Amino acid sequence: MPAPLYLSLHALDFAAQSLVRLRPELRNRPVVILDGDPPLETIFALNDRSRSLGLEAGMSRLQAESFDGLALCPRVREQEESAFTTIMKCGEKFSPRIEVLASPEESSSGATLVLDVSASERLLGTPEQVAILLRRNIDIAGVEVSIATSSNAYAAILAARGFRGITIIPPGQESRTLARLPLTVLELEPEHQETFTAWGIKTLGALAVLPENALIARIGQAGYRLQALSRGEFQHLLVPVEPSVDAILSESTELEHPVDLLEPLLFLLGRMLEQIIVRAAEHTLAIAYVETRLILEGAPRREHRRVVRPALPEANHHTLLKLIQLDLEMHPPQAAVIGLYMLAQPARPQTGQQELFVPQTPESGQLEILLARLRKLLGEDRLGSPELIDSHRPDAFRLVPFAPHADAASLATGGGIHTSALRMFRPPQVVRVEMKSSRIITLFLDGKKLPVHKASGPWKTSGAWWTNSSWCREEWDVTLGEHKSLCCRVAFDPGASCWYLVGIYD
Amino acid sequence: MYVELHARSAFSFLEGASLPERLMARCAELQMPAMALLDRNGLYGAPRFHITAEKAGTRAHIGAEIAVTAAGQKVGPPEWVPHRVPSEPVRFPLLVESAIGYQNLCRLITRYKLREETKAEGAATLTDIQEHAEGLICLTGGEEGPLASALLRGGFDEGRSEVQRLVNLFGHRNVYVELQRHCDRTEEHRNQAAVRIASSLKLPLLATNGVNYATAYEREVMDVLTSIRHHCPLDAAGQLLSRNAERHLRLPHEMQQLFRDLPGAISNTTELSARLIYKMSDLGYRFPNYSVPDGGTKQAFLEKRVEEGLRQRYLPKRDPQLYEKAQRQARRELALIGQLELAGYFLIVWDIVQFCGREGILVQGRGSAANSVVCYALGITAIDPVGMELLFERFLTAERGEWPDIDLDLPSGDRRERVIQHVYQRYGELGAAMTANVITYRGKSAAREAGKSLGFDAETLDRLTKLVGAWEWKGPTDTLDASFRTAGFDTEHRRIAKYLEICERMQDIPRHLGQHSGGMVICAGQLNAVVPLERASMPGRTVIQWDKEDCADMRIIKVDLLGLGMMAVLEECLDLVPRHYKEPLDLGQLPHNDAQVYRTLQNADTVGMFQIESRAQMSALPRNRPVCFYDLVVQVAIIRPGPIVGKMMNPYMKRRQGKEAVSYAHPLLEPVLKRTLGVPLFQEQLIRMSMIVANFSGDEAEQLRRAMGMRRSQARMRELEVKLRQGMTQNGIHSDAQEQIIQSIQSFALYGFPESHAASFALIAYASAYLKCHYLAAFTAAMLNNQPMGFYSPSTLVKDAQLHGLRVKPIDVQRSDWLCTLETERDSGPTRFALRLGLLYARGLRREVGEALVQARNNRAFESIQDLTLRVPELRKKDLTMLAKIGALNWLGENIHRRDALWQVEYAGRPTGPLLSQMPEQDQASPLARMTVDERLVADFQGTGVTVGPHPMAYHRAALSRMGIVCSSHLRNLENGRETRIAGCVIARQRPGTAKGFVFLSLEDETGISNAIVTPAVYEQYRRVVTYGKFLLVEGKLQNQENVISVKADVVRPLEISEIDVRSHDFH
Repeated sequence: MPAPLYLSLHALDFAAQSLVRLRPELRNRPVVILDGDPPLETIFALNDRSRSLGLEAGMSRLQAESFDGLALCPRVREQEESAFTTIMKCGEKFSPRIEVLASPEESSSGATLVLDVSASERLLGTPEQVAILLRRNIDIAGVEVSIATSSNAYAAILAARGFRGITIIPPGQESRTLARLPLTVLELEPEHQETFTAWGIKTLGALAVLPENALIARIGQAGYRLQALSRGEFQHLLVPVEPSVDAILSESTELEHPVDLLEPLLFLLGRMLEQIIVRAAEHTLAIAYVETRLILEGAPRREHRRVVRPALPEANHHTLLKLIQLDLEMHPPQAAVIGLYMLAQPARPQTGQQELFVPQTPESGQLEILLARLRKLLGEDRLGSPELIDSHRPDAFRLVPFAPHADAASLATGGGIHTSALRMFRPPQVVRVEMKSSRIITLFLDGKKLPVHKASGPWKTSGAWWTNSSWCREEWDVTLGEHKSLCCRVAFDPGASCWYLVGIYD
Repeated sequence: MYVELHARSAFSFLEGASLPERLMARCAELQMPAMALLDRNGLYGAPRFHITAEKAGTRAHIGAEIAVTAAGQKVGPPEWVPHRVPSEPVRFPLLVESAIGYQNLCRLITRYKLREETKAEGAATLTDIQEHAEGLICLTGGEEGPLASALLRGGFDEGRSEVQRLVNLFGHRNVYVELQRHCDRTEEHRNQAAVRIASSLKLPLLATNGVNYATAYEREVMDVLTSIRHHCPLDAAGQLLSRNAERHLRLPHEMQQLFRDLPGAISNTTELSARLIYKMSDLGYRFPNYSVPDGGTKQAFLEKRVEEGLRQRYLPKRDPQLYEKAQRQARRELALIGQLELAGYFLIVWDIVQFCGREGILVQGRGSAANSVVCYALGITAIDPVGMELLFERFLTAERGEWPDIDLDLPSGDRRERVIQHVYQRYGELGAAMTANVITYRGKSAAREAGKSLGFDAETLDRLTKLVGAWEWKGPTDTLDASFRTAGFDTEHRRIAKYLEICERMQDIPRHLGQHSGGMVICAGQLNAVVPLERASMPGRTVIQWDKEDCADMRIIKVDLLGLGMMAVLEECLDLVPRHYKEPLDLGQLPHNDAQVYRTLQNADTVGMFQIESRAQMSALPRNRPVCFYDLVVQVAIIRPGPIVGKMMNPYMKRRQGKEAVSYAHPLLEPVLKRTLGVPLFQEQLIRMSMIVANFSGDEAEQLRRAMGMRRSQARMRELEVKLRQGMTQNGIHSDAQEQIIQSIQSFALYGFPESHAASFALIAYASAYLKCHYLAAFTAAMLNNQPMGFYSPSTLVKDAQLHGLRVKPIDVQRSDWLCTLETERDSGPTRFALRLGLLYARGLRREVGEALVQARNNRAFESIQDLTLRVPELRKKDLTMLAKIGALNWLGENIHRRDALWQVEYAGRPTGPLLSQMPEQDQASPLARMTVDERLVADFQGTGVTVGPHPMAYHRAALSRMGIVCSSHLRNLENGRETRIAGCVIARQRPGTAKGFVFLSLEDETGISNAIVTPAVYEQYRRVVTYGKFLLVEGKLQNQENVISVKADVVRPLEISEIDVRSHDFH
């Protein structure tokens, strides 16, 4: 069996590099990448030039701004992702077995990959040739990386992190090669870092020569691992990157002719959805939501994006398609469609057993379709369950997605004794009011003049004074009409200087 | 007419948004004849409310809302809202009708407050209420009251029985059914029920507005305080906030309009107000009676003690004239004390001093008491006021109508606590208590709390509060608004704008009650009948609900028992010196003309000396060149904001150096100002000047000093100024001289320093200087043992002591005690002492662990690190590592270095079972290399904050010299105006309020301390380096005038020589 061979590549200051590759004018300037919410951003990553000025990760924008000639750039994750994908693609040309040890998302210091290039000498050449070729490929993409090869994966990784350029570690030379590297390449736990600093151990070489048993007696198995790493002897089990389930739950197609009817589109969407559901089922998963993107005809290229999200994860093809259909009927595309893209988010299917003595509830998919139909009929924002908002603001409630209350029956019967109820007008009716000595004497409603017999109020509320949506309202409860039979609530909004009929008491 | 009888002030701590003064001022504006203050569970704001009312010509009714456990829970927000509001007991609003009622209220609050074991709100029981109901009127309350709670609990019937219960407790005549109208439906439903209940029980109705703030505008602050109280941001507070802005003081006719259907409820307010006859000027406070042992009068007893004291103090001086003068002065003072019936007061303070004497606790009176020969004779003060010609009138006059103020300085720490506990025991838990310290919202706290309330995240808040100018000097750009703009916030945005506004409006609003540093109130009979007492956070302490100023306003006498670090140092020296040097030490008999001491002072070599060690003092000492004790008195007093702002310092110094002729505004002033070379420096001089030039009586002169000291008393000041001018005219003083005199009085009246106080401090300063000069090892050990204190860090104290020839030895577990100790050097020649650092300097080591280590070692020396770990199991691995790092374990074996110890400690401290723990390692040899010099320095500073080896700068001197950097000791050899480079570690940074934005840096190197002055322009340029740099290089022109040396910085750069964590004392 041939000796294993690993190749590791490390892109230092990856976030800064991924920016500079798109903006070459920054290549010779100190650059820092800021992350966080303005104006409280901090330095997420930086290049060598800014480091030599005394900048470091974690500094605030204000601190960074005090340095002259510095390019302060916001972090753009898309740029990082794109650069990382480029590196991955380059790596994939050399080996299908790639493990990501530090992705740009997780690490501000850089991105690290390790490739298993064992037994590929005939195909690709010597380790040095492979490294040179790979580096050239990545150089072309505008990212500078350090590469190391070794028969020990960790030795390659540490060398790639610690040395610039290409490092070829011949078999048996791991410990000697790594000896000069600083301990920081091991990314130690703070407690171990503290211990080694106190001991004056600064390099892998110094760690490697400590008496093994004494070291283990002091810091336990971690000592064994760290020393083995520093000697280039720690064995690594490569876990290659595989496409995630999320990645396989997508489908796309391009249409030969623009289509502007929904029915043929639904036929195609149905087939795409079926594929996705089958793949999800293979992983015993249901679908939490389906995103449909319709690529529209015309320039510039436009997309019509819709998302269908059932209350519970759904695995039924018919239900999901119906929901997509109803949604598209409510929100049809504004132009003919030339392409389709569908993406689903998987979730664990909902399982549960209903109780014996509780009335049968409708099947969730059917209920979902019913609600979608109602939404189509009534409008998007007019369906749901009302929920009170904790505020003194009158009539403060919001609509939340429909979800029957677990104890709905008891709520209906409980709740205390109410002698009257208020029927609210939504929206309230604008009225005119005649006042005398701060009392309401007449109300003008629908052209009728209604004398006010009795009025109590004003009941005042105001709030949210610290926001732009502060409110203030004065309300009166009045009895109207000749027979004093109409008891209603009127309100005055001082902000709008307007009177409203808010509701009628039963 | 209407009287507001239910108002809460900001002293209801987060349940009221206006200060009592503001409420009462608003009451006067609204032309209301009276108003009542009912704060939650206390009378915290009552004195201010009362005093403001007196000034405004209105009446202040006093009361409180008393939490009662058995009366149900306060009405809270509806159950469905997401907040979990802790349930609170309902509160009975009680109004004081008579003096008995006031006493009952104070006793009632004290009873349930002291029932708690720690500081807490507490709540009364119905029995408590029943026992203290006399003289109190009970209202049924608003939503916090018992009626609202009962109505919610059980409707009309429950409400009625609750009111009936109140009637049973307080009597039918003393219960009013309260109605409040805040334009709220729920409240109105309650009102309807209340009216029916009142009618059925034949009780009077009473309209109130349940006031929480003076004007509707303050509702915003109230909402913010509510959100702070419930630890929930405004956006999420919902129904915890007020429904509207109606809880403000209303015009009487507005209230009449609001209650037009119930006119009786309005008219009852005036009727009830008329019934509330109690005024707070009648507190019934009496100072305790000193019981004279032989049955004579207190006055006679005092006179006898004074006579004895005079003999004791003056006879050793062998100056019959002085003794006679002192006796005359004592007779005069005793006559006045007799006339004012203050003998008991003096005897009680004397009693405390006697206790200290018996217990061996060093004590010294400070402040104006040092003007009194009676205090001197009684041993209360240590300054001879007759010998020093101090002015008694500054302390006490017949007309002032105010208790004298005696402050006692005690060693800080345990010994002061013993004295405080003695006072508690002597006068009983209900006879003595500490005065309170009202903690109010200030810049940073307001910014933080308001920020939380408005929903800023933690990180933003941290940065914002850091942005709030920390330095003492507030430059034109140091405003909150400017800080916000710098941080990139849009101050036009509503939320941001409101935040800024709220921060400003929250200033001075009480946040909670703390404990004053040393003010104790003592009372004859029961203090709890005068003011409510409550538990302090510190165990064994009780506090009254009023602060120091309130006590003074209410004429309650207090004795300040203040802790002074230097007193503890002196006391420790009293033990160390005789024990080690075998020489007696009596602080009262120190030679006051010691040449070495004055030489040291003249050279400004004063690190560690009391009051004269700061940079400003050091720069003034060579100019003042003290040669006698009085020079030191002036020295202590002159480096103060007063003389500096009043521009007195430079004229004095010039005259002192003979560069300016001594002159007087009028020849009459010569006797008064002669000692200070014609420049008024002390408050006593102001008093004397007015007595001499304008024939003021002692009391009038004191009033003038006070009126000038307070910007608020402008009317009184004008009145006295007229009188002053008249007096001067009568004495034939020319108008030009009059102007000059008035100007000089005005310019320093605001800031002048009492001569007696300066003299008391100078005495301690002299003692510290004497001890440092003659007993350096003992003094340094005591200084290091009583940190934190003074201007410099322990590291600077150690380096300074080393420069003066003291050998300082590192921490050694085989030798160090918990405290720093003295060791005798075994070399030939006279006995020399070295200082051994104590284990208290090992950072993170707990005292009990250190003491356990010392105890184990005293039995038998440790043989090895393993022996140490086995015999002192309290030592955690972290402690052992730290001790190894700082070299404290180097003597636990042969040729052990710090890394060897660290290697062994790691083994000894490994988690292991009992079987293996005693098994030594087979091969103990450490593979680790010794620490380098820099590593040792870093470890020393990290682990102890000091290094006993060479100064970090010393290791780099060659390189520094190549860079043209001059060491601090060489600066005095360079000529003035020369371009110079200095460098060192920053030991102090100051930006004093009097220096108009200048920053002063003190840099330490191996030869001493150099000073740099940073102008505002240079500071702006190097702000970050100046503020945060640890080792700095400063370039600029040398200023070397009259032995005062500094470098005026043009450039400030960081010096990258070490990663040592040096800590500077930054005075912001």
